[in-house]
Amino acid sequence: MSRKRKLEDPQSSLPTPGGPPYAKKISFNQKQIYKEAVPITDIKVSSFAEHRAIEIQAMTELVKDTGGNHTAFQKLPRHMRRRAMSHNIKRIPRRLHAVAKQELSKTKAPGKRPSRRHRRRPSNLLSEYERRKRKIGWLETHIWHAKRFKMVEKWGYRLALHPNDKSIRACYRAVKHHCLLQDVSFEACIELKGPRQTVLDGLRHLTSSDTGLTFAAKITSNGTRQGHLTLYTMDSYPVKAIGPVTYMWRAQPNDKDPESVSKLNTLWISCHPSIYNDVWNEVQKCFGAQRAEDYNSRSMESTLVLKDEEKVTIKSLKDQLVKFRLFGPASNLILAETLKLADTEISKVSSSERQEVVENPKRKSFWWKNYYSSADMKQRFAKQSELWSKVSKCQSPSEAPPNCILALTVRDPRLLLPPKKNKVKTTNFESVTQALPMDLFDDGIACSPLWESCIREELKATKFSEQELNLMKSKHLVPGTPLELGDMESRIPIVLIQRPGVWNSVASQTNPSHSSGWDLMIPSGFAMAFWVALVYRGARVGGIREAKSICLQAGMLSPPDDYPDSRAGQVELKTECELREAKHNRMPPAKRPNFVKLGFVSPFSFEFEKLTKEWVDKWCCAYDSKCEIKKGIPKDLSVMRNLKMLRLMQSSSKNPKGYCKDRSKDKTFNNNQEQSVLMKILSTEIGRTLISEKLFSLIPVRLCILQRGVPATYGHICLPSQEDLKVLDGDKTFGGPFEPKHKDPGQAARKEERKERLRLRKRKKRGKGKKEKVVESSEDTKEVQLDLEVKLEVSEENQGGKEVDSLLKSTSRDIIGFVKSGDFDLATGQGLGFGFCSVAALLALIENQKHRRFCLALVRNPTSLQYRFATISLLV
Amino acid sequence: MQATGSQFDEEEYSLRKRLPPRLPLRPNDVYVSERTHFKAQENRCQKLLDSGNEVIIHGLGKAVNRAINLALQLQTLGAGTVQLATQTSSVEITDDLIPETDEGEARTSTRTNSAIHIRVFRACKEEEGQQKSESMDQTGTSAAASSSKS
Repeated sequence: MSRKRKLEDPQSSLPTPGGPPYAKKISFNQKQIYKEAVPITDIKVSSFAEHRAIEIQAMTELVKDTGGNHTAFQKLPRHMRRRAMSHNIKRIPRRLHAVAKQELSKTKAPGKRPSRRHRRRPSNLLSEYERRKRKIGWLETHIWHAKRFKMVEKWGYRLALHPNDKSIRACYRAVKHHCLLQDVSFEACIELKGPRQTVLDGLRHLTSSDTGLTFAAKITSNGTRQGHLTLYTMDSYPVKAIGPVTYMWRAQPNDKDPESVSKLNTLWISCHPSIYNDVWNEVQKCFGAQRAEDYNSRSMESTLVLKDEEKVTIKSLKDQLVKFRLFGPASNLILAETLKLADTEISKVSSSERQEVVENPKRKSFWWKNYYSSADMKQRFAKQSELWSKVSKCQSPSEAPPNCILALTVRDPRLLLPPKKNKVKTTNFESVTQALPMDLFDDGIACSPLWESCIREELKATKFSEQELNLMKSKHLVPGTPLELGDMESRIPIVLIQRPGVWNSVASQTNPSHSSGWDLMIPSGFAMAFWVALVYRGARVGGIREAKSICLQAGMLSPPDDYPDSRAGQVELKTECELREAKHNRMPPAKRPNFVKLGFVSPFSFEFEKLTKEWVDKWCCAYDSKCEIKKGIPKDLSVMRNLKMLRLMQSSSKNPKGYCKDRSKDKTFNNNQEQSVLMKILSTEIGRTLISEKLFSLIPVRLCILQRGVPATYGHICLPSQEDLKVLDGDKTFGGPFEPKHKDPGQAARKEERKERLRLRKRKKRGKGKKEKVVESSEDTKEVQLDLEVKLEVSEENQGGKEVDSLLKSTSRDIIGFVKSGDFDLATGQGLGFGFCSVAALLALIENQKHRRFCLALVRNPTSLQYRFATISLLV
Repeated sequence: MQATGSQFDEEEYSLRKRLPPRLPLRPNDVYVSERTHFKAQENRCQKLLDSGNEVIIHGLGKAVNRAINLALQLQTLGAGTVQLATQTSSVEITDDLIPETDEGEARTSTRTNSAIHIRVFRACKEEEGQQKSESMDQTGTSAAASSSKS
């Protein structure tokens, strides 16, 4: 072949200058050459090509694909790119036009988003909201709140946490002097219908008469008062609490004997949404629902037939009732302005209006015409109106009997809306109110059509929409005149429930009417109508944060996190704990407290089990000879709610000195024997059971700081030493002792590690200059860093492990409990806290301070070494 | 503080006091409480007196002493220009007895407590002041009525 080439060379070189005259010649020559070519025998072309075909294909694909997943013009080298190539195809080089066109045809421009105007049209907006609502529950007032409040997802709803404006003090003032409003429609209601005695027998499993009143209480049986109690899992009192519920019986004034055994009666149990599923399941279990599907939480209604052919119907009214909570003295005034009694007589309407109304096919029946047809009902309505006119003139809701229920039927508040929002002023300047006569509060007062589900349905179906009302208003000749709808107007049955406010034991310390108010229950669908009406009369709106601070001040427990022995409460506490820990860990070490140095073993959780166990052990060592203690550690955490025992503890802790004296007078005690609170407690029957059974329990306490400082969550409640008390007695301005700074055994090691890390980082930086060393050194550092991290973790864990052994020995003052929540109390101008103590520890505290007039404890926050003195009192 | 005229078992009932019914609250009505800082009350009354020439101080029960003290203080501060007209009354107060056992019925007990209403006013002329105090006596129970006339 080489020989051949050499031969051909001079000829083939000839046409290289190229040109048309030679073209023919070349082709001729080439033909000649091919003809003369010696057949190649060394290479088999077909197999040669076959072998390389795959490689070639791969190579061509690779060449084609340069630039990855890009459009044609994006693959162009930088200097050939032009502005707006994607917009105008002519800016792309001609040879790429075809490709670009193809690509453009494939890609479709995304559909234009509909204009904001279109999206905000009421019907479209509503469909959007419906879509969002599906994931999580919304209250009816959601949109109103979402514009003004910080919203959080809680308990299956999206709820208002706090207003966006700066308003903590404003909300406090509203509670104190005016009116604070909260939407609590998330509270779920369960309806039980059945023979009274059967219902009571079933529910007996969930309650205990030790904790106070039960469902069977006579005071609530005729439906004139609301009751509240703590539920327990079936037959498991005193452990496994579910949480607090309120309940009301349906008033049936026609019955001569409401207590009669076989009478059908209805009971509404209303509970917090976090415990709703538990309550629902337990109630079902009480009435013998065995299979799991029987008490499925999704099913809304179930009828259970008991052995004697007695039927009990359990029905969920979740999201079927709306409940607004009003706090503060002006809530009477605001309600009086908002709730105007409906006219239940059949009224005469002018013919033109009637015609207009008849055209409207929506309304066919008027529930109130049937309901108020009998003279009995009319009389009852008159009575309700009379009472309401009296109650609405009172200056404060706490002038009404505690927890009383008052039913009314009122006009549609949208028709009575004032043109502008402003605060209502006191209306009765002249009349002097007298004490409300008790005889007016009989069962007829609480009798309400709200209990009938068909009436609620009808109301919802026949409600005029906002738009329809506005349309009718626009037809008025004189703008601004109120609408007169006559028969067409909705008559809305509502129920008002009085709340007495401040917890009884706290009442002596603060204004006894603080945070008293009304709960307003209305059928669903009308929430916004009432809400806007209330807000337009000057009620200030609060969220969950405000409700919690009111609870703290009033000495009430707020579900579910103030119930650490309930499942819902534990879940709540755990999530809170995780959030706080995550937040702590996000901070750099220099910017966060070192809890080891501060002596906090568990800065993010309540170690209740350990606390109670260690205290009982200590107690056993000290008093084993004097009293018998039930041995064995209970599995579950329990909170003491036995009313008699709480009373006993309260009377001894309120004034230990007086308690000692009082008892020694009563019983002829040996004067030589030293007075001891414990001995006095042991001298009573209930005291002995308290000490033998309840030492493992927790007890809720209220802490009022003496001087400065505000208690914080997870803080310690400690036992003051005798020296501390002595110093305080000598110097009234003594702020409190200090915890000595703890040693952090890991600190030296961590410092070393930090040094090492810094050194390595420096070396890495220096190494960057020398290219050949970069890879090696960076790998080195990585390894070292990994090592360090592992070491660090190990050392920190070790510290934890060492101290977790004993809670009591971890600080210089013995821990008796933990602060659950604390805040600055605007009423007293001092710190206020709420926490849980071990019963054994609290008894030790009282015993320690038996010569004092009131009990003092020390409180220390997780971020500080300073102890603060606080008076400790029980919440009974 | 004991509920009069009714015997009840301490073990079975807990006592809860309702708020006493109040007289109407006009801008120049001052209700004196034991808890409020005395000096603050005095300043408040002085301001009202300076602006409207009339304050009515109400005190109930334990606060009667304090109300009198306050009024006298205002009088001395006024250096002879301020006069007092005093009324006493009895206020009916309701206590709720809440049962602690299931069998207990809800009960209430009423008691009366003494109250004082002092009109502190600045009279421009001697006669006018007398006239006012006379009218106050005529109206009897309610201090409110007299002040609305003036």
